[in-house]
Amino acid sequence: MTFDDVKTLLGEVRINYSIRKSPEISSALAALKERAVLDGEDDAAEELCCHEQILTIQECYLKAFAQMKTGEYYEAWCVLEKAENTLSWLLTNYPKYAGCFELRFICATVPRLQSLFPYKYFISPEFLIRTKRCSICEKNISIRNPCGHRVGGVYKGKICHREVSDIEVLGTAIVANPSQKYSVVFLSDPATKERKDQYNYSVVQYLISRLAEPFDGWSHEVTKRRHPHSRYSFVGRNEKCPCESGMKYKKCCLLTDGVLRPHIQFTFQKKPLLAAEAVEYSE
Amino acid sequence: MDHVRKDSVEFSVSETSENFSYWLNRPYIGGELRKELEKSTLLVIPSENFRGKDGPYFPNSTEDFLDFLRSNAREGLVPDICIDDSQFKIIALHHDLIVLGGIVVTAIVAPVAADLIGEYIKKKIWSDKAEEPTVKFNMTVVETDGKAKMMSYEGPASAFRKTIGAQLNPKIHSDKPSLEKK
Ligand SMILES: [Zn+2]
Ligand SMILES: [Zn+2]
Repeated sequence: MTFDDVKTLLGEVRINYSIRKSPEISSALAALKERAVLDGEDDAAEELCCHEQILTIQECYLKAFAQMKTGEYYEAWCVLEKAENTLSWLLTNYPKYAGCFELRFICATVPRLQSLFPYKYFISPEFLIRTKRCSICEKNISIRNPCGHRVGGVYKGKICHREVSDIEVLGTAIVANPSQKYSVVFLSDPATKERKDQYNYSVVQYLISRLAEPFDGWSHEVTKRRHPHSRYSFVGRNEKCPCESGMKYKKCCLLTDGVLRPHIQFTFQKKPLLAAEAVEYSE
Repeated sequence: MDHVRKDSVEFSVSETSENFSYWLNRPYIGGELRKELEKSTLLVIPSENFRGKDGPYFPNSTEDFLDFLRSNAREGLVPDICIDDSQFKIIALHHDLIVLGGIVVTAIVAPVAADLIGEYIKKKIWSDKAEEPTVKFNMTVVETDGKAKMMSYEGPASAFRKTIGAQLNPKIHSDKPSLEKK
């Protein structure tokens, strides 16, 4: 497989995603990169490294799509986070790739998918870092006399990062906007200590079940709408209002003609799977 | 609560005595280093306390931020950092704010510095994500007579340039009070 073959395969992901062999593309890129490094062709190695990351982004997106289809939502969430991080690296350092390899689609779709997930809070640690090393030259970081290797820069086909060698965890907190979104807050079963997924994924499920292919376009709009009180007959007048305002039901939405709840309107580029007439989701 | 993403801008300007000579005379700055730092017109400064733990500390992005300032310095801007190598310590916070910490800058190069920092922030926004990152930043502008004003910004990345720019251009905004909150 030549580099041009790889670029063609990556460029046609929209149509070949189900039949292309990613491990083969991956090993072809690795072999080409090794060759370029041996030949001292640093620029070529850098370009190959970028394409390895592009493959990662595409594969993460495809994997997440498949996992959402089979109901593995948390797994899909983690893979989307990896796609986001890799995209962020690629597009801050190499914005020229934004328009190719379906990255524009993935870049727009990943945050929109994430916004449909029910996760709102995450466990996130705070650190005190005393010593970091450069992954390229392995020297400790000197803030006054830098080694010259920039984090995220590519040197001989390798992405530069920092390895922390002296670190102290100051504490953890539950936050809404963490530095990384892997640590979702789950309940656990007190008997088995196993993770219990208490979240409701109906919005994600609603969307994904209507998309035939990963690169089918869609958009959504979130508004609020009043839903009939008959749906909330199980809520007492003196209980908290189902609109989550924090007030009593009788002092809040019960004074109006319905309970104010999020309403999501989806628009599909292609005719959606399942009940085609129902393109609205209400919770 | 300082850990929430902000849609609105929190901006304030206040008089401060923490000018260049204040920072150059901190107990953790030795004689050699002080001489070195005297040449700078922009100083990245630490915070000296973090939830009761004595510093000095710098935010996680400092290495990257300083590297950007060094490689893009222009028009009399001489960036440096107010710390010795051996005492450089980082606090990595648990939220995704772009925390740039603080700088002290001479009034002459302040507009250039604001431009550069604006460019730096712009580089950090890699997509039009649903939620825009929040930037947290302090800038102390020191006049030739040593008088200093500290501007504190916390708000969306996109509003940074305009907010700081308006403050640095007194011709247009001469009637602004010294302490304002939008
Ligand atoms: Zn290095
Ligand atoms: Zn209500």
